[in-house]
Amino acid sequence: MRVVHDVIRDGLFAINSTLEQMAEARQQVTTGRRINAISDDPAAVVQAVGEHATMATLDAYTSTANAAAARLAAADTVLTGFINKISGAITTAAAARGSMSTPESRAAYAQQIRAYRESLVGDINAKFGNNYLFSGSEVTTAAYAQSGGAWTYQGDAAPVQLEVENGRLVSVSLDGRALAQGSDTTDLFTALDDLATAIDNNDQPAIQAGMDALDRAFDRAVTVQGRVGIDERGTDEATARLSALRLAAEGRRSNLEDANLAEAIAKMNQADVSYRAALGAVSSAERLSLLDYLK
Amino acid sequence: MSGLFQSLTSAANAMDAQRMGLDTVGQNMANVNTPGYARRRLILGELPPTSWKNAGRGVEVLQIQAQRDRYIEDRLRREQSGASYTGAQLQGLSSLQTSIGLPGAGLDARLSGLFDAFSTLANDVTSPTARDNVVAQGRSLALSFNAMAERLAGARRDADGAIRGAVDEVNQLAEEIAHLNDKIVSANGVDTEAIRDRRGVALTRLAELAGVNVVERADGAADVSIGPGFALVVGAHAFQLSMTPSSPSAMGVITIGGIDITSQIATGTMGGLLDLRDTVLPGYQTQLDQFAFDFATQFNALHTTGFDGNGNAAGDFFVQPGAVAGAAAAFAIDPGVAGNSLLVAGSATGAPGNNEIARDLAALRDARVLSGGTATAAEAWGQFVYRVGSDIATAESDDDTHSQVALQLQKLRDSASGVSMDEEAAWLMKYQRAYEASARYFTTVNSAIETLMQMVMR
Repeated sequence: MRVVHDVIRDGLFAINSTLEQMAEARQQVTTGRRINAISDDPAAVVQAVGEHATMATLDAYTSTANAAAARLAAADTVLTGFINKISGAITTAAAARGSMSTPESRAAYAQQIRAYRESLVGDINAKFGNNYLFSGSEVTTAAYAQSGGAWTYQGDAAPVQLEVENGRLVSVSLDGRALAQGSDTTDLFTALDDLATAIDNNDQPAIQAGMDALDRAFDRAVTVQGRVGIDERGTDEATARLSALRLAAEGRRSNLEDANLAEAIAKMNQADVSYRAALGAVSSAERLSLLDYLK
Repeated sequence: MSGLFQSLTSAANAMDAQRMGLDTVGQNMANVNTPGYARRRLILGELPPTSWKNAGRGVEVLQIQAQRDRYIEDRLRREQSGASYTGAQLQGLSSLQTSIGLPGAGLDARLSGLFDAFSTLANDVTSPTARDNVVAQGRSLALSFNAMAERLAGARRDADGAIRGAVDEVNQLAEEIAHLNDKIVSANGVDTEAIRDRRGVALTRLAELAGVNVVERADGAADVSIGPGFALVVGAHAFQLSMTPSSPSAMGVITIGGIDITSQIATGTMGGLLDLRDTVLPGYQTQLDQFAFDFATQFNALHTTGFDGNGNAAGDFFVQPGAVAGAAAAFAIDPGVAGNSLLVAGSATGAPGNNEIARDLAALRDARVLSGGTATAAEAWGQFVYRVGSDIATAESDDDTHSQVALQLQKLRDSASGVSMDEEAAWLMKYQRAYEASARYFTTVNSAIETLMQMVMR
């Protein structure tokens, strides 16, 4: 067969082919990515879209878990103070109940009880950011307010819940009435007001009833704090799981999208050699012809 | 004596023939880079002796023949037509793929942004900043849908414009071929190989543009048909293609002699562009529109079950598309929501801290509510990306294959018709030597005649 070498067509075709390979390898090395266009590996691109979505979901859960952890920590702190104050009120009431008390000392105890009540109202109306922690889903309304001499719960029983991982909800806004009243006929604050009055009047049965109400409030607060603690631990566990899942998803994404740099560099060197060889072959093919030997 | 003069004539004929050989070599060398040029070969014939007393009358030039292989040229035209088809599609799709973006950097990122914004809103449903962010992300997603739809529409318009240009070029080439046919038919024995070369170049370009069929007549004219057999050139007459906008798409319809042949052109650049304009890109548009329609519908369906920041029943979050067609281009956040982020639903009860709807809207990210309830939003986008990506990959692969085959056929064509400088150099030497030998023979005979003449003159 006659062989006709066309330097423009054959030579440039060979040069362009090797140049394309080199450009592809160089792009992988410089970008660190195996996929630089959706046509590079469409099946891998689809999987990568899925992995990006998975990572975004995990990031959103992590962000929510962090937000939940902050609010639960705040609630936990408030509840610790709440419990301590109830304990203090119980201790004060016990001191006031003794036979050695004088009207002056009882007045001081009663005043102390009222100060505890004031502080506990402050606790139950604590806010995280702009939201009340113990008003259920009525987060913009203080949990308890005094109206016409009576304490009224202004929130609701529906907790605000955050989803810290798929299917796991934690309550970050609590039912204040369940904390302050539970199944009692009166709430903690009314009970404290009544207790202060009973101490003023040295009404021993009423003081005992007030102390019983404080004991029940203490139990309720401890129970609520326990639940918060469980949610805090669950949130921490969820955060750890999310982090592990994120790492795994990132690994899968990297396998799909990122270049194997050692392989890419080897390919780039190989393409460089091929390119030089093509240049050499083309130039040598054009260097000589029979015309050079005709005298 | 008369024998010697005949020898002189024979030598002169031979010198003339070798000179024509040198001319032919010169012509071949001169046209080594001329597209479509078929190398010429000098066909020599022996002049037989007139009687048994002489060896012969030398040589005569029978023909200067162009070396062509019609079978290879036909195959080459078909392959170039296929290469142009995939090349045109590849060009159109490649410009599209840059606008789709890589995973995590395209419309999927905007979807994630919206879901993330609702997730953040669920963390603090009373936060004005979180609400504003939801609106901003919704607007960003809408703009992404709009931009993608516009790019698809733009790609269709670009393809239409390129087809219009190709139609004009086809008409010019058809006129040129008809004109060259006329010259070939009316040559009256004059060498027409140069005209055939020019016609070959025009036919090759025509095949690249529209994948034509060529039939060469006995008189040398080439009849050209387009599509399944619509005459484009018959002898010296060319038929014109015309392109008129159709309603309502405004895309051009190609007719020849009043007959719509748009769907009949299936190869060449025009075939590739028509397929891109009328099938591939509309397919993408439909898929994107369906995605946008389903997404807006599902999102609104959930959004309207909630209560806005004012405690009122919420309306649509996105403007509800009236139909699937055009849903991506018309995708927009509800004007009321866009102007007042308090109208974003977050609560399922109306209580200001209730975040169930915000949570549910964020969880829509993982819900298979699209593509007939089989895909999440990311999966639906992935399906779209896969379709475009695999179409481009297929076009790239086909283009490579066609280019390789076309290159091999081009080499085959060159092995029959191409000019080899080495070969021409060999012929140059051969004709030169033959010319020198004939000249020496002429000198020798002339010398013999002189000898005879001197004998007579004594």
